[in-house]
Amino acid sequence: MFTYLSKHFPRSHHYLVEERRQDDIDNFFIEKLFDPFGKGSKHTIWGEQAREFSIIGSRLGWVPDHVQVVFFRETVEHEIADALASKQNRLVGEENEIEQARFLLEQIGISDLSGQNPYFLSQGETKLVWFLSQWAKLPDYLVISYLPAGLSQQRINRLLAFLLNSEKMADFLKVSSPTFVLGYLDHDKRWYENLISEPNSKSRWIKRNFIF
Amino acid sequence: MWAIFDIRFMMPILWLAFLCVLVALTNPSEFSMFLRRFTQIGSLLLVMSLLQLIFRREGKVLFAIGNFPLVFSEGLREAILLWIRFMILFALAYLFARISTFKFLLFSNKAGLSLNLSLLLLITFKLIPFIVSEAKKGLWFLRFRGINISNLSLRDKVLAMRQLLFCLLMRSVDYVSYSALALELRGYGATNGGKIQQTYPLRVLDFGLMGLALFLDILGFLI
Repeated sequence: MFTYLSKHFPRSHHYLVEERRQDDIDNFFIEKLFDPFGKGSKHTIWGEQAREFSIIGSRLGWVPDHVQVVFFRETVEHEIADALASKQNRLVGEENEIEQARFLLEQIGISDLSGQNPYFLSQGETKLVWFLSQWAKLPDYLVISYLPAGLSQQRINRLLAFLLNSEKMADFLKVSSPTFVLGYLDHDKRWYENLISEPNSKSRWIKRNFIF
Repeated sequence: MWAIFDIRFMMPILWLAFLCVLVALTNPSEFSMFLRRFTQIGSLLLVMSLLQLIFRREGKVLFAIGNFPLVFSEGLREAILLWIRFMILFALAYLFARISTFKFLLFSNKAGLSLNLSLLLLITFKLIPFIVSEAKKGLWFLRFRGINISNLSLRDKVLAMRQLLFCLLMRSVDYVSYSALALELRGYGATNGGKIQQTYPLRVLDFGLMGLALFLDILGFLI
C-alpha cells in the first residue's frame, strides 16, 4: 500500500486528485480499508497484513464524507490530545498534548468547541474535529475525500489556510507535516485553485487524475 | 457422578437441544456458522461458569488435592446449570437476530402483545446486532488511530475498553433517538393508537413449535 502511495504520490509535494463523483475516494477506501477489516486478522488490507492495521493507521489519515466517524473521548480537546499521544502508542494525551490540541483548534478556528462533546457537533464541526484528529496523529499521508462537503465558505478558507500552513504548524510541534491528497471535482474550482496558485506554500500542489 | 447426571439438568438440556434443532431447521445453511459461534462463546462462558466452583463449597467433595477440597458437587452442578442457561440465552439471541423485524412485529401483534411492548422488545433485540457492528467499527477506528492494542499494558487495555464503551453508548443513544423519531413519524404511539392492518398467518410449523414449547414447560413443572 505505501509502496503504491509513494510511487504515485511522492512525499515532496501535495496532490489534488480529480474525482468523477464526490464519493470516488470514499468508496475506494471503504473497499480497501474499511470492509476487509471485518473479515479477520488473517486477511490482507490493501496488500498489508490485517494484523498490522495499527501501522497502517499510524501512517495514513483519512477524512471521509460517507463514513460516520467514531470519537472516544468526552471533549474535543481530549480527543485531539489523544490523537497526538497515539504516535507513542499512548491512549490518553497528557497536559502538554492538551495544550497543543488547544493550539491546533485555535488555528482552525474552532477553539470554542474545545470543551464540547464531539458527538454533539454539526456535520461541518465534526468534519473539522475529525480532520484535526487525523492530522494530529501525524501520518505520512492524509487523504481528504472531498474537502468542501459540509463546510461553509468561511470554514473552507480556514481549513485551506491550515493546509497551507501545515509545515509551520508541524515545525511548531517539532514533527514533519503529512503529504495531503485531496479529492476534487473539476467543475468546483472555487476552493482548490487557491492551493495551486498559493506562492507562500513550501510544497507544491499537483493535480492528478483519479488513480486509486 | 451423580452430580453430573442430575435430573435437574434434564429440562435445561432439553430446552438447549430444542433451540439448537430450531436453528438447524430454520437456517440449515448457517448451522456450521452457528456451531462455530456456539463453540467460541461456549468456551468463554464455560470459564465464567467454572468460577462457581470457587464460591459454591457445599455438598460432597468430588476432587481434592491432599486434604484441601477443590470441587464440590453443588459447585459443579451450579456451574453446569449456569453454562446451559448462558447457552440458552445465546441460542435465543441468535434466533431473534435472524428473524425479520416486521415478521416479529406481526407475530407479537398476533400474540396479543400491545404495540408499545412489541416495539420495545423489537428495538431491544435489534440493538444487539447494531452494538456488535458498532463495536467492530469502534475497534477499526481505534486501530486506525495507530494504537496497537496487543502492545498496550493491562491498564491501558482496560482504558481502551472504556473508550470503546463510551463510543458504543453515544452511538446507541443516537440510534435509539433516531428509531424513536422514525416510529413517531410513522404514527406509532399516536393518541388513538396505531394499528397494524397486516396479519401474521400462523402455519403448521408455528403451532408445532408452540406445542412443543408448551410441552417442555409442563414437563418442567412436573419434574
